[in-house]
Amino acid sequence: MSIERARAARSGGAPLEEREPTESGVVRIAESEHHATGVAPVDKRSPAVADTAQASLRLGPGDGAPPLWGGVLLLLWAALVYASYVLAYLR
Amino acid sequence: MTDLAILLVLLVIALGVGRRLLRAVPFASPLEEALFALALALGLFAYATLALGEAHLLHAPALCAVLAAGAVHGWREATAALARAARAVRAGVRSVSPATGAGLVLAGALIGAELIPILAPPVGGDQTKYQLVYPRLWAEAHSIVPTPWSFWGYLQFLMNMLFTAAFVLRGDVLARLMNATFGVLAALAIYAAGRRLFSARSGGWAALLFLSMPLTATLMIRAWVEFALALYVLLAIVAVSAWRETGSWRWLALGATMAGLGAATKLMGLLLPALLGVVLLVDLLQRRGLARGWRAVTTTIAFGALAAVVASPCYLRNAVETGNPIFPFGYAVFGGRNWSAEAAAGLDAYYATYRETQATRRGAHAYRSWLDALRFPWDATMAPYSFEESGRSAFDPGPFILAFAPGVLLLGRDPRAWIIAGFATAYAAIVALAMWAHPRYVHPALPLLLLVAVVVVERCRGYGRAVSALVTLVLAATVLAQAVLAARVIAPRWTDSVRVVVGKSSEEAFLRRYEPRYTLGAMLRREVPATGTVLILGMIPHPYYYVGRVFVLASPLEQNAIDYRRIASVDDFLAIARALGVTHVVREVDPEKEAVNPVGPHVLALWDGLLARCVPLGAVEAGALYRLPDATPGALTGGAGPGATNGSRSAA
Repeated sequence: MSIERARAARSGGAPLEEREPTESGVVRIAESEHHATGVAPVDKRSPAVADTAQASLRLGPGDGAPPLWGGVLLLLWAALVYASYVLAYLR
Repeated sequence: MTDLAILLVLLVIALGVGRRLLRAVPFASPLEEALFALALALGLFAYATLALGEAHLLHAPALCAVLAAGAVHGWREATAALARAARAVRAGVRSVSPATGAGLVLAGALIGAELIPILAPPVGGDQTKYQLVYPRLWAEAHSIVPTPWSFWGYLQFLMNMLFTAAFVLRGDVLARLMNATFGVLAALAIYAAGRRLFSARSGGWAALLFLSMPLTATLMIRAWVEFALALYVLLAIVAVSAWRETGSWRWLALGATMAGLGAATKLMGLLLPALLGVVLLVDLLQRRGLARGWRAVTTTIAFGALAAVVASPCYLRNAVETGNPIFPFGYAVFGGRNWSAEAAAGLDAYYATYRETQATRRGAHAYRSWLDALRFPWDATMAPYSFEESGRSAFDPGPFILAFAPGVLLLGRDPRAWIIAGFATAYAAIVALAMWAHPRYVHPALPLLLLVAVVVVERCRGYGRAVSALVTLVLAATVLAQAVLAARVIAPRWTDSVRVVVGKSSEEAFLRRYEPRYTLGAMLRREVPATGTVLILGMIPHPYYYVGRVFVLASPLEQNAIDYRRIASVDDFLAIARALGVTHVVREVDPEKEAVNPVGPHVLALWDGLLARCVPLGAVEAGALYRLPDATPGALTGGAGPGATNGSRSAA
């Protein structure tokens, strides 16, 4: 999810995917960006909150796409549903 | 146009009041703030209407005073929000991408097309059976009128109070505009939830899929309550998710408030605070451990208590008037006036027969076991016409949810997606397995599942450019195909609706053409004096909307005030009719339906006997009108306004 959310952040600095992650693999978001981007706010008053928000923005290899076998299964299921839907409508 | 102007004023006032009340909540965006503000303030306005109704003060000046007080209270917040919105729109117009622009144009076109039937007279659906019937009754009576002759008068909740306010201020067009407003707010809430929890793109696609869904078109063009519940479900989940991320008790309190307003929208809405309470408890125990279990329990109880208080007004009204907060259901537990175990059993049998009859349209039986009911998602997608007397696509949720929501299993440990999918699945499963498997009844789960399904396909873009293009193609094609089906839902009567709206045709001509019972109502208004009271003899009688006179429903199915099991003779029946102040009698032509008469032939014998003593005045296709001999107008209704009041209760 993080890449998608990072791409959503378009104001106040470089796109998130182009920023250097910190040692813990997180990308920090300035508070000024929260309102413009919809990215979950980082509440500096609560360390736990900051952890949660940052964890959700973790960037790493393989992040985002589901496993390939799952994607193939989903595609087959979706094709079955769409085909059945069209046939049911035409019947 | 006047209705639209009044709606706009209402929304501006609600925005100001809501923003002022929610100043302390740390919203992520102005849109999010506006949605919560409007949802809260409209809920409060509904309760204000209920309070005025109970106080017999349901007059336009009283409601206007409430609105004026709201305007004064939130004036600064409203003007600031409008100025900010204007700036945002100006900036947005300059920077909007072609794809987003196309989506907005399509959404606008759909909403615009749906506006036309709303501006024409109401025809069809449950709106002329009960959703608008009792609100209008109350508006005309300037108070909440007891209706012991029909339990539908006690299935009137938060949205119906807003419909009541609309009737007091203006009429049925404003009421249906309010319903459509909740539809638009629900779509915006999907976008806001998607943006906060996942990405703006996910929220945008999910909102577009929701708006183009044929089921959405059905719910937009008539007065229903489903959109309101969907909105409160979405906002409650957003608030609880925000609380999980920020730990702010303000978000938790707002979540409980939204859950309470959702529970106030309809009986099934009670599932909202119940399920969110479970989410809360499990999440707290998971994150803080069993060692702080007591704290988790007290937090959950506080959440539930606040939601219960917020939800309570309509249920309290039912409890006071009938002795049962969820009248007429739960009779074995709560009991209830003008109802009985036999009446409950008769109603259950009728509904079971109805489900069976509809299921035959897909060549099957009604679900008889939990295992059977597992077919529901497939049936609801492939045969949405087999749950209610409706057109092919009227309750069609589209194929996208069934195709892609199962992909949540591939999302790994994403608590946001799992909370949404888990809540939606639990809600739909409880309704389908334990209540009534019907696409409309699981409606609050649909926007949530749409959001999850969109997140799933958005993740698939990670496979590469080709798959990403395929994802865009699937999303766009689904939206367009759904929009075509939605257009077909709207199409019947659309051209004639335009003619009425622009004044090329009269409402009278429109209603004579499309509303089967309108001619009966017209005859009634012509023959029955304004002081008359009409007894309606019909098995499933929902005729009030175009009757236009004080009436008493005498169905043996949906009421027990006139208890046919205990009426021995026609003389007894006549005495009851006279005690109710009945001056005229209508015998409806009943539609061919099974199990509509749980009492049996005795009812028909009483009706025939009564009519044999009456004077026939006329007959049309939908029914016949008679005058009761030697009737005394208002004998027991005492001029208390439309509908039977305490008179019929004591007579029963």
